[in-house]
Amino acid sequence: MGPTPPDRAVAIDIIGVMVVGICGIFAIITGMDWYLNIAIAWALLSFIGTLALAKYLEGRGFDE
Amino acid sequence: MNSGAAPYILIALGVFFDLVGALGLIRLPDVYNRLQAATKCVTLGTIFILAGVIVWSGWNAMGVKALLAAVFVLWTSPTGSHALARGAHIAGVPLWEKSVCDKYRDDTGR
Repeated sequence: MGPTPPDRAVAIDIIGVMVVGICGIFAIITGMDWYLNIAIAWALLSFIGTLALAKYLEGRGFDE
Repeated sequence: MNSGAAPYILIALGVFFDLVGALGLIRLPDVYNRLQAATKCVTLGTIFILAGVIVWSGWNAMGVKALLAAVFVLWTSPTGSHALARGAHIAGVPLWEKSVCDKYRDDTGR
């Protein structure tokens, strides 16, 4: 996937958003609402991971 | 719980937008093109799926959780994609050779 590291970072970001939708579909299929707890937690954690990857791509530390 | 075909139509629309976003992620030629196509389509598709969950379940704990997840996605996905585009530009990833202009380089001189 992609010739450069930012392509892979974009793919990870998109997968993280798609997993939230997949959790919503699973919640409808099984009728259990704790899949949406997983969706909320996954949205926040993938956002933090995306920001960490972006800071890594800029070549800077986490404290600026 | 019995709300007809409306949630399934919403979920089908969301899955279609997710499919278009994944297709754009594979087929487009550049990091920035891939980022804008995939981020917009996948955010809209996920919002549609969660709206389908809200319509399917009604106003109870499940619907409120789906609404909260939709608000989180709507806040965090554009922010993350903006940070990724900025990081890719600072890391020196070149634009596609048919790109017309680069306003960020014109403004910052890099």
